[in-house]
Amino acid sequence: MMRTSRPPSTPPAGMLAPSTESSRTSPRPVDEQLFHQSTLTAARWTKVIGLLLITAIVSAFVCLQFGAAYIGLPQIFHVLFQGVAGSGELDTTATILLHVRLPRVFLGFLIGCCLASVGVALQALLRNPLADPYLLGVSSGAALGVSVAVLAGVGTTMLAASVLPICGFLGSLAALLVIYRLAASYDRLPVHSLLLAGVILNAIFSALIMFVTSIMDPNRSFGMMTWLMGSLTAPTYPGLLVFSLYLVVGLTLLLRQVRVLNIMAFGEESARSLGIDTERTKKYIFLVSALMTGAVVSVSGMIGFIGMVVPHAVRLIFGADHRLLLPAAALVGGAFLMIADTFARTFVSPSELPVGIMTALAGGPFFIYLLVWRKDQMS
Amino acid sequence: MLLGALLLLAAWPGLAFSGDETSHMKRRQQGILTGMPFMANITVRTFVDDAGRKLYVAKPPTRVVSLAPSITEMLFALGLDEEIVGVTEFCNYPAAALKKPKVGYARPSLESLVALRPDLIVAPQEFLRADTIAKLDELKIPVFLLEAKSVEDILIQIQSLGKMFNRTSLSDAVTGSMRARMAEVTRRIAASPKKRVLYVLNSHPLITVGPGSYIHQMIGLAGGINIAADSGAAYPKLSLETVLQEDPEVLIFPVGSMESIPKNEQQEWNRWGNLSAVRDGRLRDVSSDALNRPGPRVVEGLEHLARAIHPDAYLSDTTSQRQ
Amino acid sequence: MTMVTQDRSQSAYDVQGLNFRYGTGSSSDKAPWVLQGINFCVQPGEMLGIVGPNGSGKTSLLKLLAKVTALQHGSIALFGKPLSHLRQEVVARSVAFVPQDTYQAFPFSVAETVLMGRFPHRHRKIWDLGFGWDTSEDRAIAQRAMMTMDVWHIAGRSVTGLSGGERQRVVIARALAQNPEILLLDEPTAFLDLQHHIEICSVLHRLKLERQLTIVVVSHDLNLASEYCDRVLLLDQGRVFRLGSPEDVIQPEILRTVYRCHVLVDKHPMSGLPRVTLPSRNHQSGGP
Repeated sequence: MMRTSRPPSTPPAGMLAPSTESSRTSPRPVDEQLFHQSTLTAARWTKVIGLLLITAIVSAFVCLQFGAAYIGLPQIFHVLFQGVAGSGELDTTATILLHVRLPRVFLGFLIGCCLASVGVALQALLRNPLADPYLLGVSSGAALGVSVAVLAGVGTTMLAASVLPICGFLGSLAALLVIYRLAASYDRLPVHSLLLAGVILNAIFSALIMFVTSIMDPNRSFGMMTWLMGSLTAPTYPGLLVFSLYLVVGLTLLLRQVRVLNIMAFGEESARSLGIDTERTKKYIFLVSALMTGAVVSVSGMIGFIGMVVPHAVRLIFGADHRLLLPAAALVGGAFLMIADTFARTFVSPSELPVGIMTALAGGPFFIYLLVWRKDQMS
Repeated sequence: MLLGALLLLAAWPGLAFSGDETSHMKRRQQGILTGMPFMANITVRTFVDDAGRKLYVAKPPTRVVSLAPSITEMLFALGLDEEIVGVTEFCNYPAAALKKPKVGYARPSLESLVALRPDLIVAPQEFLRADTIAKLDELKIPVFLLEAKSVEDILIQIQSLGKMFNRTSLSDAVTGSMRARMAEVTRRIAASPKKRVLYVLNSHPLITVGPGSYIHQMIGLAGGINIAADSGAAYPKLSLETVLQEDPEVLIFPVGSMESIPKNEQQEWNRWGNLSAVRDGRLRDVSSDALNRPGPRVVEGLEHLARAIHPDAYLSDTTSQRQ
Repeated sequence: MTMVTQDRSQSAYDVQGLNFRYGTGSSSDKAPWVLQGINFCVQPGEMLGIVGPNGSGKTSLLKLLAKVTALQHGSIALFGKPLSHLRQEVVARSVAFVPQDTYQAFPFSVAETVLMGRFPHRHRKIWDLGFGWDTSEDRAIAQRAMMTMDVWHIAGRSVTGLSGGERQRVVIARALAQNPEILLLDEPTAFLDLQHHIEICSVLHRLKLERQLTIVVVSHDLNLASEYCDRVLLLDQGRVFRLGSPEDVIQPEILRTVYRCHVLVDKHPMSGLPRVTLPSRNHQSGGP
């Protein structure tokens, strides 16, 4: 998939002088092959996305096999048909697969998709290939919301499973409002102010979270800390449905802006000169990213690395055109989180590790490898 | 208006994540130590756990999973050896528990729980995640949550479990024997003056027990005055200044298989020569397996405490009263 | 697809009473005026050079014309229509802007970059997800632009690895791909070597003739302005000092007043147009 920089088949570099030739004669035929190699074409897009989609599906089926007990592929298919057909009572294995493993794997895929997509969008917005969804500051708002709720004892009484994410989401909304007020001036959203506001808010909220954790009952604070590190659990199906719809809407909203993101990556002045309303675009991207990140963190804590490493790695491999980058990063992020979570729930069976640990441990070395490989390639 | 729509959108993911909506049947006030635990059940077969969740148990469960060592001990004490199908990796008493299949302690694997096909899960309230509970509710696996804020709570829990499993005779016997031993302790230390006690749950940071923890109550029952009695939390962090100011006469260190204060940390206290406890050499070990588990052996822990705080009250019988 | 229809009877640009300064709200009250009382017209098909010392407001003026910076006081009319009433994307179909700074952090290829110039002309269907693929017409236009600017041989290379001059040519090619009626360039020859410097000047000249392109160039190179521009606008501290043909503007006394230095102005031996030469090091002070 690497693009080579081979010289075009048409005449050499000597074709300089704005000689009147090129204008008077009939237009030279388009060198389609060169364009195919140096830009993104629909054909290449289809090939790459098709490949990644297949990879994601295969990974999903691999992940479904592993857990507390190994379930073989034939059995998986059998159970899936059973579940879809809705035929009769489910035995234990079927229950585990359909009600515990499958929703969790799916949730992992969804969250990985969203974190990676938001990462891509923010890297374009901030013109920085190292940006991360958590830079915005809404993530620590969500974490603070959940911490305060746990401190207040919400998590131990009824309706806990529904109230905690709501509290987290409200926290993220509060953070969003504060950041916007801090960063925006006179209806404009300067990127550097956004960054600064996000960093400040992260610092303040992190301190508050640590404060809350320290005055909390030690039994609860243990659970709180592991949640903060990022962890997945098997969601109920109604919850999964709503959450999925919410995130799919967000993903679609981001996908619609891919060409705009391409141009925003060149700077706001270039973007405006090419006809883009940069202020509106910035607010749009910021808002969608913040709302998605807030929801994700409210449900699963701060799963790190996916939002930054996956977009960067995918860009190094497949190029910077966001028409390909955004969906590709989403698929890779989803598959990556599914696999990381599979390790998280089997490594210390019958107990579990927070998946955030796995993503960091896996993401870091892989990223180093990629950088080294890329460096050798360039030189 | 956008904000309103956003908030509405915000409510959806959370609401949709709900498990069964359990009603607000709070636990009624239990009787005092000598009294009878009443109102812990609503109807004969409906039970309310310590989180306020209502549980209808038509017939005694035949496959039960315990998610804490204390709960395992309770179930075994009720003679439920056959019915127990899963315990945690830390459950080491009685010996039969070691042979049972294991599920995780603080973060139990949902799959292993489901694989055991339990018809009841008894778990400590503080560790279990809300979404795990919601999932178990969705799968129609009953979960009974326990939290002990006082010794009486423990007794009520044993009684409730006894009723649930139709082992009331056993549960009565167990609780009866526990009450008797508790009464014995009270009798023995009645004459001794109360001593100031610091219970060191953790050294760095210094965490002790306070009102809301059953250990705090037991210190009182064992003839001690917990110097952290004024703190607001069940497991407060004390500053060294406070300790020096309150000047405890006895320092108690839980020691055992699970949680243990190592010897070197205990020795650190010798620095503070002006503490009464250090001056009089009253740094005592107690069995953490007995004390830190809110189960049937908690009276053992109480006896340990009493011995540690008032050794003179037990001088007369060095040979008898083995644990 | 709306474009600003080129009404040849109208000026390409009609600037009236333009004032501008940076900063917004309270902070702007202390900011100095970058442009004051600017009035001028740009005729369609002409090449106008904007010159002046550093800080005279050249780049700011160009950005205001491109609608890259928002108007504050005064009015700018683009082919008779007020610029502030036009949508950004409508303007982009007629006006192409080449900035001075072309740094890029992401590994887009040269061809991809130039193709982005086609963005304002994309056909939008209701059902597409905002995606859109380049048409063969787009590719043809991009290829021609790349050939014109002599970056066709590096079409596949990543812009992050290019030299400043190559990047500049790529960005100009992008502007050409936009198929504009008005081309605004900010110091287009700043990083170019001699060969490409001459080239780009001839390209601009040729485009002006063939496509009746209106070109506004900001440059510190007075000789470029003299040789290629029909008219020259000399700015001094945010005000129009002189507007006229190169002979009218590039005169020693005028230059001495504005630039505060002595320069030699004679006639170019080939064209007869004013030629600015720096005094020799032996004759630094005072002029002939």
